[in-house]
Amino acid sequence: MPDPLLAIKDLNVAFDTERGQIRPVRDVSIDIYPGQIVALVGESGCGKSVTALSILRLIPQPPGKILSGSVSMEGRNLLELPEKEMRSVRGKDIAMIFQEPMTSLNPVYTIGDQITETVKLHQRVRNTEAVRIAEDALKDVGIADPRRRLNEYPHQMSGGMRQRVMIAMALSCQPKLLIADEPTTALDVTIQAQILELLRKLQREKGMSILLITHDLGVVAENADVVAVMYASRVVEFAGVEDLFDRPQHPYTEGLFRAVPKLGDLRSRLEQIPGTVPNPARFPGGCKFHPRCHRSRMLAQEARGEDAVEITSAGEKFRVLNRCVKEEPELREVEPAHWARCHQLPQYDRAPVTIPKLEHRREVNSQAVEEGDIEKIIKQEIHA
Amino acid sequence: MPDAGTLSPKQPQTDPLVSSNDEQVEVHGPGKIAWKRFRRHRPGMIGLGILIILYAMAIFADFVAPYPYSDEERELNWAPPSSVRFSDANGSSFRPFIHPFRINIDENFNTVLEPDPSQRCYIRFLVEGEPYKLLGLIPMHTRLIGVDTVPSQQGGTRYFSRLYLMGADGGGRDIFSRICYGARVSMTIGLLGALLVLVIGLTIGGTSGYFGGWIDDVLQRLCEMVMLLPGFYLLLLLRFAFPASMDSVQVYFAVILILSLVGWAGFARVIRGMVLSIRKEDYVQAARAVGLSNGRIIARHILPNTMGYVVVATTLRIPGYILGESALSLLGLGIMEPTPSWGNMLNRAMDILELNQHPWVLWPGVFIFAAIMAFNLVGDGLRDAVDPRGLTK
Amino acid sequence: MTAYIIRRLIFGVALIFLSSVVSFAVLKMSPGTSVASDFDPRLSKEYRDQQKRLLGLDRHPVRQYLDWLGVSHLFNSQDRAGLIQGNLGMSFQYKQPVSKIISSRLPATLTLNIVAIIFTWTIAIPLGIYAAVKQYRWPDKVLSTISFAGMSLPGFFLALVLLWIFASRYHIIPPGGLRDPVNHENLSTWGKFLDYALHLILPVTVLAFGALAELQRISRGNMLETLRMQYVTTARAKGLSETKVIYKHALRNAVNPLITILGFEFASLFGGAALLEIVINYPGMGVLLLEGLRSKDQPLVMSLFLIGSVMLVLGNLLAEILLAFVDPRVSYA
Repeated sequence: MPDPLLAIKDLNVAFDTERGQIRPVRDVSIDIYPGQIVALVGESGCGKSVTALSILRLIPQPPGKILSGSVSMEGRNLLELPEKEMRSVRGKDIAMIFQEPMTSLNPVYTIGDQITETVKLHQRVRNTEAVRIAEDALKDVGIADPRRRLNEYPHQMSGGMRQRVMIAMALSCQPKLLIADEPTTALDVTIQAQILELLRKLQREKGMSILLITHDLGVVAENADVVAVMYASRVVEFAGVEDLFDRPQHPYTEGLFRAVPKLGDLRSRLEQIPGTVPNPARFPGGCKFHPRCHRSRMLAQEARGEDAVEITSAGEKFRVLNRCVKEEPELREVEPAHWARCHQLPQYDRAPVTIPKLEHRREVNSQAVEEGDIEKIIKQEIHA
Repeated sequence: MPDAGTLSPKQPQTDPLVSSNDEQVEVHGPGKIAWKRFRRHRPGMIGLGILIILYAMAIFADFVAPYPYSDEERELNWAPPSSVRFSDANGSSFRPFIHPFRINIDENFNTVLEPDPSQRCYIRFLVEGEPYKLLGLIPMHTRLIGVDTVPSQQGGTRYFSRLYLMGADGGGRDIFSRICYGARVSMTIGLLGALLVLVIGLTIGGTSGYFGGWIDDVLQRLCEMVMLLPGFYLLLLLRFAFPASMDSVQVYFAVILILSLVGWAGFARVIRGMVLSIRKEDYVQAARAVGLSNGRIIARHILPNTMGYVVVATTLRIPGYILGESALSLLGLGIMEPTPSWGNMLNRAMDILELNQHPWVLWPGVFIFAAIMAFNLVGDGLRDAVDPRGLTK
Repeated sequence: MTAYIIRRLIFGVALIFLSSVVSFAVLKMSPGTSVASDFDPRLSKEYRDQQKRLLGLDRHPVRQYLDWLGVSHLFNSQDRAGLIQGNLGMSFQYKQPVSKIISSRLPATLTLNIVAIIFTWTIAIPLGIYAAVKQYRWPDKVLSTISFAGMSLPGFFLALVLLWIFASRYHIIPPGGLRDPVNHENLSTWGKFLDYALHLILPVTVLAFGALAELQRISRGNMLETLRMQYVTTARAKGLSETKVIYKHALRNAVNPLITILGFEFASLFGGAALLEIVINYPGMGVLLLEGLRSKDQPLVMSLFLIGSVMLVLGNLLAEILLAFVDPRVSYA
């Protein structure tokens, strides 16, 4: 197995708030291999964006701080680099694009100013050369008449256009890794598809890796090689994209799938995960998912009296398994190359605790995905 | 990046007042939530404390002040503040005391006012004083603080046992007592002015913002017309629209009217802005969609949602009205002697010679400062408590 | 842009006209008389009536207003020229053209306000930015406390306290006024300049302190808001140094909105210090206005109000134009 491009290991991040410390990232380990697209999936507030910002050390400090862990890239621990060296990593080795293209660009500088600023910062080039690079970058992302666009201000462009500019800016220095934090969430559906296709195309051409942060399973299915599902600051499931969609192991992942509509099954109702995302200041004890977990609830119905307890969540009283309330599960390799964090998997107790590493590439080529139906990939595991 | 956003310190997610799924959450009204937040705002609580003290001083002025505001002692004009002592040449005492004033004639036959260090007037609490009616109802003659008296004629020298905590003014009147009574004017005039502005502003701003169209246009031009005149200029101009000599009560209400005539336009615009932004909110659109009448939408949806912001905006405007009253009275155009107001008590300080000889004439200014500061602190705290969106800025 | 400016100017003139009607009406409502000789019982009624005729006060108030505007002059060249003809009228009180009286006092007021504004802006904005960058740390806390106190401290009270300490106790600064009443004429040019400067210290300090507190708070707030913007994170993610992030990307966005305030400052050049001027007996517009109102000097008072509102309209317009230059998002098409 080749070395990963970026290895996040046991990352722990804390934020000091007026009323105590919260821990938005806990023991997160993710490897990203060259040319791989790793998706980080979860609801808002689960810690995926903080994880991404921590890689670049961009969380506001204070109140945030990185408690422990390492982020290694080419033999260097980014978390220990002096600030000056870290700055030469940002934008050059690792670039980042954000959810809101409307606010990600500085309104008072032209597009050209903002792209050439990055170019001149990381590449020793003259001004004219920087402008040429910026122009090429805009051409790469499919912007017509790039020379004219360089002199325009962000407010003169549409949201999709601005996101293209952001991508052009991010890629202008040929980064090895692009962190895309919900890059299409704020865009219209048709534009979303275009932007994702553009990202995939550029990724293939330039051979870079992408850490794709999203809450949209459709985006994951079409783009990711490897998926990490986050819930309540932790990675709860980690697998190759086909494995995850074929055989989701964690009840939270299952719940996410059930909330996605399926073609050809228009009559059955969509299921919600009951309850809401927990407040990071007050996570429940044991498995963080137990107040919303259908699996624990179902098994508790058949369990003996002392194995289940009654809890109240979202105004509803019900019984869940005692172990889920008392003990926090570890992330274990419950199947080969498939990690999950749930006691109630039959193989959990026997499964080894290994560091999740997957140098996996998706088998289905994305062309097929675009033309075929998503259903082929999103096969539902039906739990009896 | 919604995750990182929700993690910065002042976010509601980490706020115990906002529900989380695992706990039974009490449902509080908006007022109660705001009060809970306000209580955590320390500067705001300090401001509130100062306000309570100042208003208590105003309400119970008869009790707190050692002397009635018009109680003169002509010979003690500009007597310096009495120094409260626990010891003198004759030893020390547990009870605080002051030296009585005596009047001597110096070698140039000038009268000299000085404390006599050989005699003591002990300070006593809850003493008998001039009779008054507490809150205008209950006849009383107990006053919070006073001093023992010494015989007023001793061997041809006249003695005065008067407690001047902050000195005396040109009529020998106790400045501290006058400040207590002055609080009645200064602490209410701004408040009443603000309330009047509130009524005018709500009516005009609310109408303007809610109905829009030509009504809005006309009312806005009206506001702009008033706002085009510099505030202090307008204040003076309006003052001169009233007769120069009026009795205290007339002046009091005239000043309130003047303050609100200066202030309403700006406030109406603030209200209009709030109404405009709330009118666009989904719940108002929804109320309209189900066919509620205008009056009902205003009463049930818009007003309750503006309430918090209105209170904040009003509080933050009171300092301006206090300043306005002080300025008018300072220039001799507001509350007239002998009725004290903090502003007119400062009038004599504008004379540099008086200021040089009796700097204690500045004391009322300290109270104006404290009152304005207190309202600003409370307003700031209230804003943090009810207006996280910053609509009132 | 030009069309917009012209439209705004026409609108502004209309608004100024309306508010001058308001101020004239209020002025006419006020009791008392403009003619000092009215109070002199020795003078005959005929003489007083003649005085009134001379000042045009025998006419109907509406007519008086039209006289002041200069509309009457258009129809009857016997009538005095008015505002439209560029004539502000004769002061009742000083028996001199109003324009002459105002322009003789104008330098004092303008110097005071301009110096104060320069001090305020050059100090307040850096302090506000600095406080925002150091948010929640002690420099921010200290500055916030000072500016909160400064905001709450009435200018006239601060002036009196400073007078007491520095003028009457330590004799460091002169006790108010514009110049030394006795020695000024005997001083050299340089000495005269110093004398003026010395008299400016107190009012400039008072004006600047109050305005500084407010502006520091506002620029701090703007900067904090800007620092939370996504494009600041973008700038950091590019690998820019913190200095560049703050001073290139955040600063401009934080300072641009302050231009609106600059527009109000322009208006306050004329009338902003009126109360302070009266309190420390500084011979500027404030004293003029108070005296004018006391003696019901109609042309003088009307002119002062007129200039005040013209300055406000111009100030706002200048601010809008300036904003269009510095902020690419703002355009008045």
